[in-house]
Amino acid sequence: MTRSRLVVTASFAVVSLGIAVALGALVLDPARAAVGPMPGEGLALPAGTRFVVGVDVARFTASPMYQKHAKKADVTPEAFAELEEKTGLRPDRDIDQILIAGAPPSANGPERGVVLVFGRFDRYKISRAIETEAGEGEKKKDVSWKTVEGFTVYLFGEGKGKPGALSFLDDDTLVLGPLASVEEVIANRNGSRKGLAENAELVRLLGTVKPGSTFWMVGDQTLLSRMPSNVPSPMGGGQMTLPALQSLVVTGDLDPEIAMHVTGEARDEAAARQLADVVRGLTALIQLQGGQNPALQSLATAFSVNQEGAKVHLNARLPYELLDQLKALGEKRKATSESADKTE
Amino acid sequence: MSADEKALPPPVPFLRAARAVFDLSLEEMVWSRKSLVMAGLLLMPVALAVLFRLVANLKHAPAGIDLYGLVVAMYYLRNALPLAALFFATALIADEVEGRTITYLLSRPVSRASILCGKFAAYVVTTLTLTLPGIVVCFFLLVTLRGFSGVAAFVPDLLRDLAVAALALCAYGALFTLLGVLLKRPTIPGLVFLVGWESLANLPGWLPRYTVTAWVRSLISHRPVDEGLAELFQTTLPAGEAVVVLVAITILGLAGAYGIFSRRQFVLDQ
Amino acid sequence: MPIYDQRYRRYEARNPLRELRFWPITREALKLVVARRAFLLLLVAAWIQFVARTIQVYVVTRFPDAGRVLPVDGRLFGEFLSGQLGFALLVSVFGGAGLIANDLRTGAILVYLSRPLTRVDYILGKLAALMSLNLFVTLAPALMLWIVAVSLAPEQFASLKLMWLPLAIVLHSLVISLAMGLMALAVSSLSKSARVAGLAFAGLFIGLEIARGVLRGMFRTPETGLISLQGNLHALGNALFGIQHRFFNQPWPLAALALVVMAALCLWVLRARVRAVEVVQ
Repeated sequence: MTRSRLVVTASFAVVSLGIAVALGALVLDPARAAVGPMPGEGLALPAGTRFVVGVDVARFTASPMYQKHAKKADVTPEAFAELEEKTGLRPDRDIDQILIAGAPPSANGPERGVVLVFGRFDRYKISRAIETEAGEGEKKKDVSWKTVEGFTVYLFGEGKGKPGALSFLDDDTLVLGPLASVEEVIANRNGSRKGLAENAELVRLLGTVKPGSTFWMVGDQTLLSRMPSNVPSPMGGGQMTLPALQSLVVTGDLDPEIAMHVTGEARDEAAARQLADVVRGLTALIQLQGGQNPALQSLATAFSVNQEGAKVHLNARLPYELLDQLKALGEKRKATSESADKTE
Repeated sequence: MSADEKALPPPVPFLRAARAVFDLSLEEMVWSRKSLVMAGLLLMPVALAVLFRLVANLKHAPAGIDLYGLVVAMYYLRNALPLAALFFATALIADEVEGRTITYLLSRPVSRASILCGKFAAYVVTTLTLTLPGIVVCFFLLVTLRGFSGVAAFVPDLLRDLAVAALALCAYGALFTLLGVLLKRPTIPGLVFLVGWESLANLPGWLPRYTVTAWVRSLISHRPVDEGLAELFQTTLPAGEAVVVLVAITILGLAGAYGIFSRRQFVLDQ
Repeated sequence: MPIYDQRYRRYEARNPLRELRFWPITREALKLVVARRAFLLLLVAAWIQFVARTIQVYVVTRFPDAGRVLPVDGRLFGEFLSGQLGFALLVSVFGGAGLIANDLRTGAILVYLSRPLTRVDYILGKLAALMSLNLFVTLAPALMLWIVAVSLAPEQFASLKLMWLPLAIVLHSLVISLAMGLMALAVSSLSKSARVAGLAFAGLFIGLEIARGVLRGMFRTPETGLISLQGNLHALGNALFGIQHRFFNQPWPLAALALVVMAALCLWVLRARVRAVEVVQ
């Protein structure tokens, strides 16, 4: 074999091996049961869910934003010490992911929501802490528990009409929310109902979200129909009508800068173009308003808009330094206007 | 049939001739100093990814898929692959003319179509040899920044990227092969096309449709944040149309190149 | 004198015919390049931005509100020179790629160096030709633009506050031309084909810039721009003209140092490749 043939063969061997490993991962990876970034257990969420929000707690707590605000709010490991002593749970260490699912209030019923928490829990300690919290005598709190399809469900404020509930689906999964929602999740988990898998639209949207983001959100038309369709025109002079969105997908990261990708799906291409033009107009306006100010100029260039058929993609990258600059600018402007008021 | 024509050996069948030209050209292309230069360009992201894995604080690193998307979209598809195509494809015939070996090639009993096809096939194999391993290695180096779990979700992206890279090399290659046989000095027009004309992809309206890069970009799912005008006017064209257009560019480019190459008389400078 | 008395003696060349020994090389190289009609067309096209910027200055002087969108001040010239980098690349590829490569291919380099010329003269001659071409697309239009700006808005551009502008224009143009010239010559000396050298130079110039983009995405630090010739030239220009840029924001002293290192590397390549002997492999 000549040297050239050897190079070609070696190269194609590397590519074939890579593809084989990739396909192997696709077949063998246990995460395949997941839908997009949502673990398979998330399919136990109620079928009527209209939006799902996910937060990767490990990445969130490692981000500069959390570090900064945790210091300010005194959310230090020491602050968690009491909670850890009682329940064995230290949120920043033991919680991996949080899923928040919900639906806006409808004619058929009130607003619904449920939270799934994934992590490592000391069930005994947590259960004991809850039961102890119930207390005795004057200290007695409104905590009770019952069994639903073999799961212990703790009820908070049962006597007040709308009890909140909490239950362990397994050692690694906790569900909390209104009792009706928690019961529905348990039923879905046990296979009595299909759960979120029945909601084809939301499952499709979840499938379009790439895993690996610090936070993400998907919402369908029902949720978005409540958003205001008329907004003040960026050029002034009255209101302008925004085309209705069919779906919204948001993914974002907080480290090393705030990075967000928003995908909105409009009714058709023309509506998407209109929406993209509105966003572009806003960006151009910031650029104009920015004038010589580098912070505002950077803010204007931090956004990029891309239209793809009926979809509009909005990318934003906001470095923390830029946010600090904008904050300083806002404070400076406020101080200037205050001193001007005083002079008057 | 005249006596002279009877004396001529029969022409070598197209496929056999193309295969022979392919073998010859592949030997010259793959193991050459030129390929070494291009390998440096096309494998640079691998070096950068290794450096990143060694040096960077992975805990605070951006998402691996974003970095991989940046490498594929910005580095390979927008810049390195068109440059590699310009480098190799304009030289397919020009090298033979410059080296004064075109005479030997054209005086053999092989058709000009087989020469062009054999050389173009060698170009495709050479550029794929230099490009695809880089993309695969970058994928595994960057997407596994936080471990191997979750890689499966991005496998369709990898497969799609490899296919788009191959299609882009074919389309740009055919275009620059045409430029190579059309012009005596195709380098500057080729660079002007890449640096100037392809910038239309960043403008609004139908202008992106007149470029190759806009169609190529539309086929991948990575949308890294752009700089400059592209920030304002990024357009994604329909994927189905993009495949048709790129295949059409490849076929038309090669047909045009053959049309010129089959009629051209090569007078070598003394 | 018997032959065995003839020991080694240093070659004593005659005195050079003129002070500027590199000048004939520069002159001939320029003659060859400028003789091509396509190249002249490229040089003319390089002045398009000058026309556009002149219109910008005119519009802003007549309609000051337009200055909010297209500000006209010292930064204009920095942005202008940054915009000319694309033409500097094309001019360097067209005019510079074959400068040494063709001599290596034809063996003319042996003829050159067998004349009363040193390697330094040879390189200086070629570099001067390439720098002249680059200055024609950087310094000349930028200075002309400054003259136009002073003429249209003397109260702004002829003020003491902006007196540094012509100096900054000259300095930045010289740095651009020198850096591009040295790199184009170094790449040209590495190949015997002008076409390969041209494409390799363009590949290096663009490749380093896109590598900067990728590295910036990975490490998110401005220092990643130091690997790119284009990035360093932009950064230096930004510092000279007071431009705040989101991407080319590496510290200018480091950018200048990186350019010096690149230039030294190019000179080292030229020293190794420009020889009066041909190594036959």
